[in-house]
Amino acid sequence: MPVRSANRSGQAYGFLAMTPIKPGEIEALQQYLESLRERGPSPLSRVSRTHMARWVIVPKFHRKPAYRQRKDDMLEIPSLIFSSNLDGDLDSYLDELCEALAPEAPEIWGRCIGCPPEAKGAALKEYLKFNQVDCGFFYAAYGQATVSKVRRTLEQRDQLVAFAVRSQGLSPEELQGAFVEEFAAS
Amino acid sequence: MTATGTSPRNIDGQAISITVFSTVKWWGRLFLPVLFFVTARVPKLTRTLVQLSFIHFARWSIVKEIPFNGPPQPKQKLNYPHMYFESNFNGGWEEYIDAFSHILTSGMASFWGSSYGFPKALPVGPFKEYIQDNETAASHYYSAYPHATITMIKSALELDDKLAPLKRNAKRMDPDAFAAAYETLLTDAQRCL
Repeated sequence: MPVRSANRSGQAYGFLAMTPIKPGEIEALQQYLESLRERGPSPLSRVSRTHMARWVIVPKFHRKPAYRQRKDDMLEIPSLIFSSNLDGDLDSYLDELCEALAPEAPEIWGRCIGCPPEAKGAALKEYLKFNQVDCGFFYAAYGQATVSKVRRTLEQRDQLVAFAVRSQGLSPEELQGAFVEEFAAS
Repeated sequence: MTATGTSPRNIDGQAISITVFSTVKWWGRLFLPVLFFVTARVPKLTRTLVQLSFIHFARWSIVKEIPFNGPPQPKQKLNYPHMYFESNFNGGWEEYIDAFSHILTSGMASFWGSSYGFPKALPVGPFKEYIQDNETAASHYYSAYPHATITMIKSALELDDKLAPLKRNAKRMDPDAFAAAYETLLTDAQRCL
């Protein structure tokens, strides 16, 4: 019996990599990531199996006196978190990610310690896998549905609503013909 | 409802991200893996999470060590495990935390009870403060379908299942039988539209 991976829910996979940021690079990295929106569509839109993803810069672990935590536990180097909720298997996803994000990766993971000099392809993939943090528990509300299926069915839902309004008053023959043309042509 | 109550960097359309690190007490190192294992295998335990119907994806991870990538990164031995929590949801931040506190009260105690400073899920005020203290805003957040809520997605998927037989058989049906099946579909799928 195959061992169930905690990173998986249905066909969805939860990936997380935590990479240490080079000293002196944190501000430039933050500015770059925050400016991605101003530059146009998110580069992650080029990785078609990504449902939802984020980059987060973690400067430290939080601690307050009220927490009554005996020892401090500083993060000695701020870390960059990349987390993605993706379709299918991780290896082929990372292949796609590391190629699709080749223009941006030097500005992102290139600012992290240990990132390969070219920041792309197989070397970047290995780097991300080396720094992967496994899920303890991963929940996906519609884990069986891929990104393309979610998009297609959302579009189809809108299409059916519009069709239902448009087709009112048609004869059975006309209704069938219009339906076949719109939904069952292929 | 539109996405509200958090940094704009945590928002993409209707989708909101939340990212929280908490420091775990020694016994959480033993308890949390068991909790995660059982939660993943007993559907009853996640039923409420499913019913909440505004969480797309969520995860909990335990960070026990920081991988060493070479100098200038110092080799670091953590004194405590740290719990990473992320959620991708729609709605408002305040409403999300309220729902978590009021509906998942015992679940929250299980997941965060071993974290330093966790004030209990209720009353909600101190809990919100705890989350805010431990939350880190995303620098960039992306959703592939930013304008869709969970309800829209689940409805669209359900509708797809209901529509499939009619799409498959429409061409070879008698027009009157087709019209009747179409009407039945619209009635049956009304809540999906």
